[in-house]
Amino acid sequence: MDKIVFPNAKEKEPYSYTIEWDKFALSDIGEHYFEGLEAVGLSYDTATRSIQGTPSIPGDASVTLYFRPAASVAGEMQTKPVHLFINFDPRSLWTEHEPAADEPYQKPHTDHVLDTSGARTMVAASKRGRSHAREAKFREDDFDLLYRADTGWYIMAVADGAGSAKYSREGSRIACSTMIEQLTQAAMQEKLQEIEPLLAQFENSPDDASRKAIGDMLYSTLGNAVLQAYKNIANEAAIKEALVKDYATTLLTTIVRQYGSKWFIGAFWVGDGGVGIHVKGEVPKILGDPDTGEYSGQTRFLTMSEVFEATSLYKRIRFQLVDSFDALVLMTDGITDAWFHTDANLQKAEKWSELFAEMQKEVTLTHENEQAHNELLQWLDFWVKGEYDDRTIAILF
Amino acid sequence: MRRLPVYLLLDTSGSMRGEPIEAVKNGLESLVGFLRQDPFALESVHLSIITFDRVVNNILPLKDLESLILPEITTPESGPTHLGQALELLCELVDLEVLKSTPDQKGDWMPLLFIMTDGKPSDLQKYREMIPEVKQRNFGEVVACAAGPLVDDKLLKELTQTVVHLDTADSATIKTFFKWVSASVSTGNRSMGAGGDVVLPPPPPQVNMVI
Repeated sequence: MDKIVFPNAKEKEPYSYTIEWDKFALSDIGEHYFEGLEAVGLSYDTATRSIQGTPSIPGDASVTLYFRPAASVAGEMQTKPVHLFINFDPRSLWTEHEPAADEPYQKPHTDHVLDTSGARTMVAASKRGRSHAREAKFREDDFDLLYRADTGWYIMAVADGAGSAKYSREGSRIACSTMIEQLTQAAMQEKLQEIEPLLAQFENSPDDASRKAIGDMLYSTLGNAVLQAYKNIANEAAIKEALVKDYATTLLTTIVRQYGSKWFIGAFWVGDGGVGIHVKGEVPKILGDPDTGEYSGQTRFLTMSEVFEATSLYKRIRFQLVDSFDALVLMTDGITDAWFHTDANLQKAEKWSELFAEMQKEVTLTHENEQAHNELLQWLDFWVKGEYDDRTIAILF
Repeated sequence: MRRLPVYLLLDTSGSMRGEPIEAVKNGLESLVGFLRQDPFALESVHLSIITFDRVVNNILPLKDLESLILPEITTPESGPTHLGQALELLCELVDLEVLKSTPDQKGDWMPLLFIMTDGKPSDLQKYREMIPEVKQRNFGEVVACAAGPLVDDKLLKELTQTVVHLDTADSATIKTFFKWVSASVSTGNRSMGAGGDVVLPPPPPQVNMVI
């Protein structure tokens, strides 16, 4: 007995299928009806030979066709089973589970902060992805930020621990906190202040030499802070008798300060995600190149030795001197994959406008808004098909 | 949408006829059923099935989990096991189908390959020719399953580090294997590590890892 196969349906989504009887070798079908369609929320219209409705019950529907060939008018009806599968609504399949309480490196599923102590505002939020929640895993992303009122530096870092590295949640935490600590020291010891005369020189003659002088200075401050982050991770790995790569993490970090009417923004970036300066309606200034591989999910991590080869590290350090900007944004790939999809889109003004338009429906980005961090965390709950990674975003505006 | 392409190569040679092939069919159904209840798999897994006996056939061209319908699987009375030829078709399909990242396109997740056979390749020369070709295709994981006492594990070892051996090709054992495949596909999505390796879940007791 050949099965009759209908195209798969989806729970809670309208379904419509017109039967071509000859496909099932039943072109001579006469009187007929289906049993079992109504039970799943579908109905059959004999005149149009079509099945309509919005299925309400997912899974294998138990449907049977009762029929007689056109030639026969009497006698028992024949039956054939019908194969009809109704897919689950993906939203109903996401469940949340707690990681074991005795796992090392416990981490809260969300984190958010608002810092309005400077003239500009820093806000950041981080949320465990649905995929991690479903598998009772920790959030692997992290962030940290600080404004130094004494020196005027805004310091931000976000990091994304590698999916399969068992302690990557701690790797990302160490990376971010080390950046804040190291760059604060650099600011306090006035190492970072050496940049001021270099910037003046750069403004007078923006040539390669003056650009390189700033790059060298960032290399010795930002670059050393990054190296320290690696060392701190390596130390922790040694204590735990684990491998450094068990702590694999990306790292995106920025330092920002106002000089006169200009803003200086320096950045270091290893891995995927994105760092960019957003000015409404303008092409964004992206502060580096995302490390994306041939396939999805492939990237580079802070814990890879190749990152610390001098030329490689140097290339990862970027800076901009801008008149003004609406926002400086640091994001992990949970945000960039969902909103930009491709590396090319990260460079497009309209994609940034879309991101901000959507975000600002829920988040009021003003210095006075004391709820900005709560709103930002709330916004991180957005749905984009196929995108369920941890999400972390830090914004200076 | 990023896809996770999953290729299944299934031996349909004469010796699989009867209980083994019925078990494979059931295994496939539970595989699809299981993955459809994993929300991540539901939106990313694309399945392709290639059967091989005397002829090689892509009975299910790469299709998303949501809309695919499992095709009928039949076995001839008897005949050779053209695994080499199946691998050749596989490589052609992967080259055509699997998307790599470019500035304007998000690449697929690294594809996964599962092979199940109960005999040894009849086209041994072709099989050996295809091994380096398969290795070049950058599968996230290649798992070869040797079902029953007739399989030469060593030959499969040439293709992949991950060879599992089922002592018997009965339905209960084959079912456990498919369950394990389901779990592997389910984690395969997100487990790209620092080295780009896929981490397999531990195999069930009926499945012996060939070391």
